[in-house]
Amino acid sequence: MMADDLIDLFKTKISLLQNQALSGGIVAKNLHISDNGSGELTLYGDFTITLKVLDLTTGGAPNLNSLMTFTQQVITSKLRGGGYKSGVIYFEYNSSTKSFNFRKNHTYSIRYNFSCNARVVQINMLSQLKGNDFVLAVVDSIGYQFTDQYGKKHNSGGLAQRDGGPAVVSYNEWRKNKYIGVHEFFHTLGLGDIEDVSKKGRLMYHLGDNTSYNISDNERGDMMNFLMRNISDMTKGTYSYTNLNYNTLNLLSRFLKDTTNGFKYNKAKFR
Amino acid sequence: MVSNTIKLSLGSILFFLFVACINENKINIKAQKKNSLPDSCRYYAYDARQIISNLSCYNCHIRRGERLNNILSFDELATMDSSKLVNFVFIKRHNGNYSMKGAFKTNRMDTLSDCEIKNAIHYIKDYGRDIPMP
Repeated sequence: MMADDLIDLFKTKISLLQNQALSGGIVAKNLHISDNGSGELTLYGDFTITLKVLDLTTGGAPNLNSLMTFTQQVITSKLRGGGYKSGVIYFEYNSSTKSFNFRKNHTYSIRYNFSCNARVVQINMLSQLKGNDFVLAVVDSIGYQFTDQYGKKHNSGGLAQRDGGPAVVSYNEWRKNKYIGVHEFFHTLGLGDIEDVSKKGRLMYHLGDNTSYNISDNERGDMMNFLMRNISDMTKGTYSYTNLNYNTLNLLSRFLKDTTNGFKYNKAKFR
Repeated sequence: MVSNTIKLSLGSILFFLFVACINENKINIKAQKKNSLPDSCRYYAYDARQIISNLSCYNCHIRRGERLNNILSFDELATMDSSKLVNFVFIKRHNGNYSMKGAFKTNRMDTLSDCEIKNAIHYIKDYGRDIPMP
């Protein structure tokens, strides 16, 4: 075990002993692995995913609570049902010692049997953003335009940095399409945009004429893979992804200030 | 005599047209070979991401700021230049394990087309660029 892993484990155990809530965007408990002996590992765990919403609009956002409630319900329901990835090359798992052998590789099918509970909470102060918390900032408007694979230009209702980065939505666009908040957050959980017009029924289709908002099994598997980014952490029992070096507040600040994104918001609220 | 001359001339024209057509085809074939990737090789981030996902790269190359068992993280891969990446990712570093006869032949990389390899490299490079996603 590396020194960083030991420090993480120590912090987690101390928090549990002090009965403090674990912090961070992803908190997992009751982690364990079941090995069926035929190349399939089933990963179990209870995950709490916290998304902090920061209202940066000039005139306020009267419908924010209902949009947040909707987003929380959709995130929880889309992550329900677990995920499955076959042909995963990883290190060999020893079920009797409950550890991975980092000298030997093995190909597994991995069944993610995670119970995920999403919490979408509003924060009022920047000091409430810590470490690599997940954040969704609500702004007045977004000027960023993108060209799709067919050469057509589109406005953006939301914008996100992938894989743990901050997400931003335009309040007016979010009111028109309640799924934008979930779409942007799923970029944070590692999913990409779909532009294939035969997949208009998918939540990650982003050309504006969706017929439905489904998530494929493969996408769910990819998000589970993001949630448990390091499978060897499964052996720790509990897990809190609080990487202080990955500073969400700094990332959000840089993202908001990047003029190519064209964010309009109340700057006085971000000080 | 006149008709024979006309027949000979027409025959010659037809022959030269035939030869010209064959040569033109040969020139086209040579031109196509020059560009090894077909025109249809376009980059779609979603498809490129599927390649990375199907090869399960993220399990060992953890996305950001952390190494598993001293294996380069994915954002560290993104800082390499493209030609080094092709060599590092697809040829040398995986020690042939992902080849048709390798230990992980079910996930073999040698089934990827040139276009898929190019797009996978493009995706890895983009990872370090933090391109906003609408």
